[in-house]
Amino acid sequence: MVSMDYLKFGRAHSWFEREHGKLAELYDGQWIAVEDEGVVVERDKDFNLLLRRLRDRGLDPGKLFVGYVSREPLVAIL
Amino acid sequence: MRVRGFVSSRFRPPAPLVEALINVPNIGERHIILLVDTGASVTTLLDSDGGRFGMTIDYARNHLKSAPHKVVGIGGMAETYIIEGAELTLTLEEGIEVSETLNLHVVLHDPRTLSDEERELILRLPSILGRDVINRYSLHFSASRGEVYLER
Repeated sequence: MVSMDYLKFGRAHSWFEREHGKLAELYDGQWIAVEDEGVVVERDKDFNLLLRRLRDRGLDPGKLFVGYVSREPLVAIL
Repeated sequence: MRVRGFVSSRFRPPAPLVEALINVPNIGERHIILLVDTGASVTTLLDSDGGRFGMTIDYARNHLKSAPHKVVGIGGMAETYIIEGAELTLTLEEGIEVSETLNLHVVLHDPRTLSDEERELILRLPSILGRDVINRYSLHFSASRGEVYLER
C-alpha cells in the first residue's frame, strides 16, 4: 500500500516536471523543496542551507521532493 | 506488470526517470528520483540524495563500508561506498508495490576539495538506476512519445 507521504512526493515531482518552465521564471538558480503539488515549502541557492532549514522546521528532506530549478537544461555524461 | 516513469525535459536531451522508495538499513525509508541509465553497472546514490538522507562524506567515512572495487565514471573517481541489502520499491501502474533487493552504491565527493561551480554541478546530478536493477525488467523508452516504463 502506497503511503500518503509517497503519494505527495509523486505529485510534487510530477508538478515540478510539468511546471518547470514556469518555476524557472520564479526560482531560476535555486533549490526548492516541494511538499505536494504546488506546495513549495523552502527555497535557497545553497543546497545545504536548504536542507538545514528544512530540518530546523522538523521536515525530513528525504521525504520531500528537492530539485534544482534552472532555465538551462542539464547536460551530463554519466 | 509495468512501472511507469517520466521523460524529463530538465535534461538536454530529455532523460528517463523513475520514482522509487528506498529503504536503507540504519537510515530508513526515503523517497528518490532515479535516472534510468543503461550505461551504469550499478544503482548509485549521488551527492544530493546523500545529503537529503543525511549521508555526508564524514558520515560515510565513519559509518559506511567502502566498495570492494574501484568504480570509475566519466569525470574520474570519487569515494565509493556500498550498502548491502538495501531495498528499492517501485510502484506498478495498478498501485501495487514491487521490491528489489540490491547492494546500493553511494558515490560522494568531498565538498572541501571542490570549487563552488564544481560543487553546484555535482549536486545537480541525479542518482542512478543501473543495470543491476534494469536487467531484471524490459525497458521501454521513447522520448518522442514521452514514454518510459520498466516491464516484466
